[in-house]
Order: sequence, then structure tokens, then C-alpha cells
Amino acid sequence: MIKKTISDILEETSKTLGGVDIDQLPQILEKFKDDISDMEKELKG
Amino acid sequence: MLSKVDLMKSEHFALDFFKKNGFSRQKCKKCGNNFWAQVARDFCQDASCISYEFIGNPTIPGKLKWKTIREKYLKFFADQGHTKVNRYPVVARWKPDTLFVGASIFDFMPWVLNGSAKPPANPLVIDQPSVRFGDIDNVGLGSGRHCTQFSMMAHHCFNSPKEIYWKEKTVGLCYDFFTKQLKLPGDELTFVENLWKGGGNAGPCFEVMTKGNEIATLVFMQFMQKPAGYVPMKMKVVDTGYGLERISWASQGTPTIYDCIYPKVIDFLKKEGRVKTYNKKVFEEFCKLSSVMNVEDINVEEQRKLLVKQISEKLGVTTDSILEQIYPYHHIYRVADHTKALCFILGDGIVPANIQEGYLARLLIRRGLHSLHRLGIDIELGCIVEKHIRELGDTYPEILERSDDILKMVEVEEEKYKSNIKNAHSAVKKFEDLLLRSGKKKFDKKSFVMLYESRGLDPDIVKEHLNMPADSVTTIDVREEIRKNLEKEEGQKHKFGDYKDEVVGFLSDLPVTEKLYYDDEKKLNGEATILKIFDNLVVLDKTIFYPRGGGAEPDVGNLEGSRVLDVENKNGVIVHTLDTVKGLQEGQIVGLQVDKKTREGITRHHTATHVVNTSSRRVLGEHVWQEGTKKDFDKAYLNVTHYEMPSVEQVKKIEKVANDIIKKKVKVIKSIMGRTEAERKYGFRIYQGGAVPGRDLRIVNIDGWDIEACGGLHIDNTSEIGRVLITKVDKPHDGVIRFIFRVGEAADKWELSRKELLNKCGKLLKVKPASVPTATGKLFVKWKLLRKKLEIKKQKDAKKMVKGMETKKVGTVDLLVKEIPGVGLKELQGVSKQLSTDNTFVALLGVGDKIHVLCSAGKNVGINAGLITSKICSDLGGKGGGSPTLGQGFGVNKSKLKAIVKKIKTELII
Repeated sequence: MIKKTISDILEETSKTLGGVDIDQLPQILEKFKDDISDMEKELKG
Repeated sequence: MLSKVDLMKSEHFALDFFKKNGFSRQKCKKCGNNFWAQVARDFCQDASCISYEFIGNPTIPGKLKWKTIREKYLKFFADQGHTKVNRYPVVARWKPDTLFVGASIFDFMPWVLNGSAKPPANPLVIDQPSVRFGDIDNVGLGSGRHCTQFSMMAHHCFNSPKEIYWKEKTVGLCYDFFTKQLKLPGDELTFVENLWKGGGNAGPCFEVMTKGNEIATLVFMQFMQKPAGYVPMKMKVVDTGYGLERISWASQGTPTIYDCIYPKVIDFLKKEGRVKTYNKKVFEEFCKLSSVMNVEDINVEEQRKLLVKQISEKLGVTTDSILEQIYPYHHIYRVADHTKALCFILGDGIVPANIQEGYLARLLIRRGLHSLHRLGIDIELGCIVEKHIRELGDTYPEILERSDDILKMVEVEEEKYKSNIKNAHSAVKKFEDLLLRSGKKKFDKKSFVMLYESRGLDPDIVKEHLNMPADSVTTIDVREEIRKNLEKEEGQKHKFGDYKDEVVGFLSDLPVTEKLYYDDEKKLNGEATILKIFDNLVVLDKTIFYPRGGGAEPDVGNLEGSRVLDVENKNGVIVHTLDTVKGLQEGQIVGLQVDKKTREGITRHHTATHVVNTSSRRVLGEHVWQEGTKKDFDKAYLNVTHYEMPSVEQVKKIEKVANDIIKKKVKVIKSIMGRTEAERKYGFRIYQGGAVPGRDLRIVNIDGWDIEACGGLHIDNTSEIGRVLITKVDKPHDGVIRFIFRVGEAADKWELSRKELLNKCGKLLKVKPASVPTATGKLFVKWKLLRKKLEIKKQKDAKKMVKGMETKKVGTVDLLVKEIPGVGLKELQGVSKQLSTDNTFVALLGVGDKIHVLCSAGKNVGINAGLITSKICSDLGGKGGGSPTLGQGFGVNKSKLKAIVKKIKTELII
């Protein structure tokens, strides 16, 4: 069993989102969070 | 300057040998060529002039097998003073203009023939396995004599600086070999006069024939081909070629050449395919007459039909019965031929792929599998390849050594093919529908090429599933088209800079720049004189700046206060691109300073590329060759040939093997060596970066680990690399794997940046770094769920909005023009969806901060929604447009809204 490296974790995260650019991960996650917040507001309002 | 007529003058062919041995010059009554024979003959004995008269009536006694003939040949010429030279690989890595070795002379092109390198021995004898794809459609029951892979036995003599031997001895040796060693009666030989041309060289030649079988060619290469004619070469070369398989065929007299080369494989396929034994008389008659078939000159299919008809009439059997007998054999021969060729091609390091040599290997595998399928044989292709390997192993042990690799590649490729073939019918059907919709009535060449490139479907397979008529395109045409596309891509890749014509013009007058960077790769400063300035380009008499090349980025730095941004080598003249040339003038002596960080980074990454290349070969197999590289100061990539994505374990192992070598502090020795000596000492693995020009090669030797011909800058010891970190593995195209890696400080820096990146993600998600993938998954699911909910809500809202909106019937069209306050484009889209039918035209204007415009038109409406939207938006001071069925845009001028709505209604007659 090989221990997961930082690269492996980032790779796995990217694959979870369909293979997005690893360097863009923080921006993509940020965008998801913003979208979720907007959608929740829209659904309530 | 000489013409073709000059080269064919009788003086080139009238030899004392012929006179002394009772030969006379005669003219063929069919082709008109002159030939020499000991008895009076009407025909020259070329296959196109007579049938294969040796079938069932061999000219060489003893039914000799190819291995026996090979041994006799090599021994005879060795006894006659020739040095035996080992075969070259069938992949011509030293020859920049060719993929495969097509003849033994390719081994010495262009470097020996142009005087850049010494021949490995002189005179020499060789058995050179060769590969020719130009004949692939002749294979099988085409001509019965063409093989994709064959052995060209040859003796060569390079007559420079002094003559060793020329025509008389060459013809004499040929005659003695056939008549004394193989006991072929001299009166069964003819020597046909002809002109040979190839690779820019030319010379008179004799084609040696016996009963319709060309068994050797003796070329006297002495001219260079120029556009206006021929000029003499400095070196006169005896270039012979003896067809090993053809000679064996002449001795065994079997119906086809294939029956004599690999009878065991043929028997195996006959048994597996339950192929009926043919009527000997009918089959031999067909094979004898097929001498005229050559795909270069005629349509083989048409010619085959003619032959069958001819035999049917002569022997009184139906054409159907003849075709039923010959077709299974056509496929048996094809499988046997292609699988033998694969042993050499894959064994010499080619991996099946979509481009270049790899494409041709794939083509052979797919054609072989297709033929097996036609024969109804359900076995793996590797099973037949293995039979060839066993047969070839004692003569070519290197193939036996690589058998695991060869068989694995065939297995992987077969799986890919089977998955493709499974989907072939639906893929062809979809493509046909696409063509029909775009108004095409025929399946043209472009379509065959596209289907091959997108789905990997060979034209033969496509044809089997086609419903629509196809253009009369052959497999050769499709391959040629693909080859041209590849060449186009290659041409674009190698385009030199973006220099203007006038710059290239001024460069041609300048002397070659003295290269100081090889003297001491660690020296970073120096002085030079400016020879020329043009725009921001500067040429010096000498330089320490390493130019872009061999995949390495150029040095950057400083030239007397100006920044050096780029450096390129144009035919030996090194051009420096500066940020400014202000204050510089021609003739000025200037100070040069190379940027240390960039130079060190590129140099370390370059040596690391060699290390990783060999590490990947050790881990993945001997088939691994470098396919491309790029070396920069902070990272590098290495493309290698390999048939599948390596596993995580394999990648880690490659990294470990590379780092072990780094830790061992291995010396990196750089030296200049003669080409022939380097090839003899280190083999053809030195050409990892492709063909290298010049008489002498710069050899970079990572002592005991990797040796390559390389013009790049390198460190002196592997320990200077620090460490290698493979940061990404990719597959740029099929059959090629890319390792992206970083070394030393660049690796540390990269690792730190990744750590920071992961920490940032963890903070955003409020979890520990190790939990980032799981938390991301949860976030993604939540996002998708909310999106779906919102979609449903919007649909409901739209339905509410639509209530009370009614369309008005004008002729056959239902029209609606509506202002809706406080909604955006998304809501308008929802409303439009609710209202749309084939007969509806809707113009919606959502009025908020600005005016959103959406028009949609059903397919029966006949109004262009895109054009109308554009007009409305323009009238409202905004922009818009779209397709005939949907237009979207916005306007800003609300004061005009009422007038515009009125105008639309009027124009649309509501």
C-alpha cells in the first residue's frame, strides 16, 4: 500500500470534479461555495 | 550535366565478363529492355514479361530453405574478402527522411554516401531485414511475391578514395554465387539493363532474373540526381540487393513466396480456418499468371478478375469455384506476412500508435486481425506472432529476447481493436447519417480518413458496414492522406521562428557563430563582437548563449546592458533577440552575461531527462524510446513510446530508479566521436532524439547508465540534479506517455506550492488536507442538488408567468410579443420553452436594469429569430443575435420600449 502524497490528494480532488485543472482548484471551490449560497437565497426568496 | 539517355548508354553495360562467359546482348520483345543471356531468348524474364515459370519447376536445386541460403550467401562473400556486418534495426532512426529501412543501402544513407562518415567495413556483406509499406496491397494473392518484411542480403563496396572493385567483379561474384554456390544453371540467368534511382542518387543497374523471378539487383551508384539532370558522385558505390525469400522461392518452386518462407504458419492457419485443400492445377495456374500483378501499375482487383476468367476458360472450371479456392489463401498469406513483419517492427522498438511508424505497426495488426476474422479463426494474433518468433529466434536472437514485449504490445492492441470493431457498425451508421444530413451522397476519402482518425477504424472494416456508395478509394489512398496530414503538422512544428524574409536573407551572408558554451558549460560570461544588428536581433562573432534546440529552452541574460530574451540557431548563425538595441552598434565589443538560474535549471533538467528516459525503459520495457522532450529552467517533460498508461506503482518506481542514479553520483562524460565508431560502440540507442546531422557526434555518456548523441548542455555529475520529482503523467496521444518532472530546487518549490494549494482548499472547505477529496465530493453533490431544485422552481415560475399569455394566430403562425417586468434572460428562456412549438414565434422583453431580449421561432415559422433579435436590440441601443430558431440580446434605451414593441407587432402583423 503506497501512502498518498499531496499530489495524489490533489489529483483525487480534481477527478471528483471531472478532471479540472489542479491549479484552479481553490477558485473552483470558491465558485461552488458562492453558487450554493446564491442558489439557497434564490430558493428561499 | 547528364540525361537519363546518357546513363543508359550501352557502354555502361557492356562488360568483359559477359563476353568471356558467352552472354549476348538481346532485346525483350515485350518490354523492349536490353538484357544479357547465355542463350537466345525472346523475353527478358522479368515477371511482367513472362509468368512465374519456376512454380513447380524450380531453377535452383535442393529445395533450399531461407536459412541455408542466408548462411551460404554470408559465407561466400566473407570468403571473397567481405567483412560481415550485423544488421541495422528496421527503424531508420539515423535517417531523417525515412521511417523504415527499405533496403540495405539505407544503412549508409545519407552519412556514408555523402562522405560524412566512414563505412563500418569496406567491402562488406550484410543481411538486412527491410520493411516496405508501399507493397502492402500486393501482399497475399496480389503478385504472390511481395512481402511487407523481407531480408535484403547485400555486398557493398564504397570506392573512395580508391577503387576496390566495380562492375566486372560485382557481376562475376553474383554469377559465381548463383551458379557455383546454389547450382543455378548459368543459362537460366538474365541480366537486364536498367537505371536505378533513389534517395537523390542514381546509377546503371542489372536486374538479375530467372524464370520470371527477380532474385537480385546490382546497382552501380555513381550519379547524383539534380533537377536538370545527373552529375557524377565523388564516391562510386556498389549497391547490391539479393532477395533472400525470392531466392528460396526459386529453389522451392512453391505456388507463392509465402508458402516457402513460413510453411508451418500457413499450415497452422489452414488447419485453424478449416480451409479446404485447393485444386493444385487451378491454384498453380492462378499463381503462375499472377506474375503480372503489381499494385503500382494496375488495379489488382480488376486484374485478379481477368486472371480468374482466363483460367476458368482454359481449365473449364467456374469462376466462382476458383474464387472460393483462392480467397481464403489471400487472407492466410496476409496474416502470415503481417505477423512476421511485426516481429521486426515491434522488436526494434516501435509501439503501435496513431502516428508515423506506430501507425504503420497498428495498421499491420488491424489488417491481420481483419483477415483472421474473415477466415473465421478465433485465436489471438499473438499466437501467430509467437510462431514466427520461434522460427526467427536462432537467426535473429534479439527478436527472441524481446518476445515478451512484442507479444504484450500485440495483446494490448488486439483488445483495443476488438473494442473498436464492436462499435464499428453504429459508428459507421452515425457517420453516414451525418454525411446524408450535410447533403453528401458518397462516402469519400476524407470520410474514411476521419473515421480512422476519430474511431481507429480501418477502411477495410468501414467498407464492410457501409450502406451508402463509397468513392473508389483504396487503403493506400487513405494512408497517403493521413501521411500528408502528419507531414503538414510536422512542417508547422519545425517552422523556424517568426523571422521576416529580409531577416533570413541577411543571415545567409553571415559566418557561422563560434559556440563558446561547449567549452565550459558553467562559464556564464564573456566578450564578443557585434557582426550585425537588424531590428532587435543581434548576431555576434561568438557567443556563450545556448540557443533553443533539441527541446531545450534558450539561455537568457544580458548583452552590454540589454536583456537577451531569446536565442536561436539558424544554420549555424546564432541570433540573439534583445529587448532593445539602443546604444549598440556593429563592430562593437560587448560583454555577455548568461542568467545563472536559467542556465543551471535547464542544464539540470536536460541531464535528468536522459536519466528518466533510461529509468522508464528499465521499468516499462525495452520498447521505450524517447519521442519528444522539452526542458525549461523550472520543469521538463519527456515523451516516451509506451502502449498504456503506467500504473502509480510503475511511476513511483521510475522516479526511484532515477533518484538512485542521482544518489550514486555518476559522472556525465561529454565527448566528440566519429559517427560510425559511436554506432559500433553504443548501438542505435544513441539516436534517442532522432537523426543527428554531421560527421562527428557529441556523445553524452552518463557513465554506465545512458548514452545518447546530444547537442545539449549538461551537468558534470548526476548528483548536481539533486532529485527528480515526477509531478504529472499524461498521454498526449495514443502510444505515447508524457512524464512531467521537476528537479532539485524546482522540485522543492513545486512541492511547497502544492502543499499551499492543498492547505488553501482545506481552509475553504474547513477540513484537514487529507479530507479535501471527500469534502469536495460532498460540496459538488450539494451544488448539483441545489441546481436541480432551482431548475424545477424556475419551471414552475415560468408556468405561472405564462398563464394569461396568449399567442395570436396569423396564417399558420402563432405569434406573441410580450414585455415582462422584473425578469432576466434565464426566466425568459423558461417562458419561451413553455410556449414554443413548431409553429410559434415568440418575442419576449424582460425589463429590469436593462432590457433582456429573447426571440424564438419554431421550424415551420419561416421567420429568422436571430435577425429579428439583432434588430430589436440595435433599436434599443444594445446588441444581440443568434440562429434562425433562437436569438438573445439586450437593450438599454427604455424610453424607446413602447414604440419598439408596437413596431414589432406591426411588422409581424399582429
